[in-house]
Amino acid sequence: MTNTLDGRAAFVSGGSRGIGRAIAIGLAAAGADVAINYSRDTAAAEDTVKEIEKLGQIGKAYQGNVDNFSECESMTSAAVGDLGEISILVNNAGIASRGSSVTDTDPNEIRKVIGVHVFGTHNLCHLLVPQMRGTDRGDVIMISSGATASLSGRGAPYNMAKSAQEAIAFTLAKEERPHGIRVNIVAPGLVETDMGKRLVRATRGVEDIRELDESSPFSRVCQPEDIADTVTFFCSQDGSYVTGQRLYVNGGGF
Amino acid sequence: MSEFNGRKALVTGGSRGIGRAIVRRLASDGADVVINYNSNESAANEIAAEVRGLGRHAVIIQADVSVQKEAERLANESIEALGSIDILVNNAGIGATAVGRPHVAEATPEDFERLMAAHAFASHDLCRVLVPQMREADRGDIVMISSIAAQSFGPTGGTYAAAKAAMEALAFSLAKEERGNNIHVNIVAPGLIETDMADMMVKFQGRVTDSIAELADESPFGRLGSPDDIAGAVAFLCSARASYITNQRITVAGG
Repeated sequence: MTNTLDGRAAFVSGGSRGIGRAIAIGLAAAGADVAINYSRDTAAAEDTVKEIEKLGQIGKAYQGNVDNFSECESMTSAAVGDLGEISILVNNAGIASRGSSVTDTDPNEIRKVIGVHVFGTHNLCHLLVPQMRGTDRGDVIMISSGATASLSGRGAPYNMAKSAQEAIAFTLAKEERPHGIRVNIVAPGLVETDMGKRLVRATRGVEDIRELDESSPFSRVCQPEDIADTVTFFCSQDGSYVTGQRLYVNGGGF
Repeated sequence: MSEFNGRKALVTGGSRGIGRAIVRRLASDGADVVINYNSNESAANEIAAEVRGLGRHAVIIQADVSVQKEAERLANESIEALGSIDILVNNAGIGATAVGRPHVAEATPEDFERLMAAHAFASHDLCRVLVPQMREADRGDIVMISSIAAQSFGPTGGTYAAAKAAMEALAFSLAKEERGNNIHVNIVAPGLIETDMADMMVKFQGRVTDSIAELADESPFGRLGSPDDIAGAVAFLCSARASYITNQRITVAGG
């Protein structure tokens, strides 16, 4: 199989639940050892690690907040110590914004959301990209959002954060290409995760997200595995000449 | 791999270059394939033999897809040959250099007509005939092989870029129209790929003296794009791994 990730090690931020969990498991299924970061849910993180181990790969979980640089330092050095060189970084950790209009948004909320998505992404790139330059091939994947295309009202902090995160990606792709590092963006629409469920409850009053299957693209709400499969594609041999690209995984949009 | 077992593909311009790599990849992942070619029958026979060696059905059909009646005949004969077609790769194309006058001001109306016909009208003719029967399949996939020219719009080749832009517009519209029928429509946009067509182009542009291979060192990741890079993206888009992806364009150009 040419698309194996055998011998590679990955770091997935926000890897305990939702999309990050599916990415961690998907990378492990393709042959990578996987370190995940989580901020709060230790039980969920341990469960993801178990799933990685069931696939015969090394799995590790590190608690910390990606917007805190010294916590990122501890997590990444522990990960490199436990797994060896990290050649895949998936910046997935994220938080939603609160649904206020621009004029009503608390400045602190903007700082907080940008802290996780943008500074968190930069922290991990700053710490892991230099050692990635020495590997045969490096991959940095940003999990962005369809929000960067729609830029809808009542989502300014999130829209701003994801847009800035994508700007890091497009820039980093050009800077690191001579080092064999690919940088790409996967931008999901609505996905069945805890965050997605909260979103449709808050914005559309939908209690059970699966009620939206019928009105969704291809008659189903997007699953975390759809996103994970795209991440694995980018990191694989099939994606080896692809960098600086963004792929929306949203069933074509609404 | 048997990801595409039971699926039946038509690859236009499948005898050489990028098309050939796409045919090989779809067949090695399990698909039966109609290989369309225009002039090079022996190249078509070669890749057909390779596909049969993989245990898959291969049919070669000559047609100049830029001629409406021939595109329609190709689509109908493909359905006859394999029973149905559920993967269409619109890959056949010609470069502006091959047509002769790559500058917009010098290109004749006939040059432009020919490029539009090869890329945009041909894609429409094939979709028009093939989509209705594709709606009956569990899943349908249409992949347009476009070009970074439709994003970069560099000097020379404006007529080619316009034809590719029109082809992309067709794809984005079709994606929305056919989603309800579980047909996925996506675009793969190659950069400079080591093929005969690109070789001709870079020689015209005076970027090389003997061969496109001279550009490898200055290319992304120290190599030219290979037809297999494009085939990899096509295979991904048609696979179960991409079942929630439609209406998208992947640029395969090393950034």
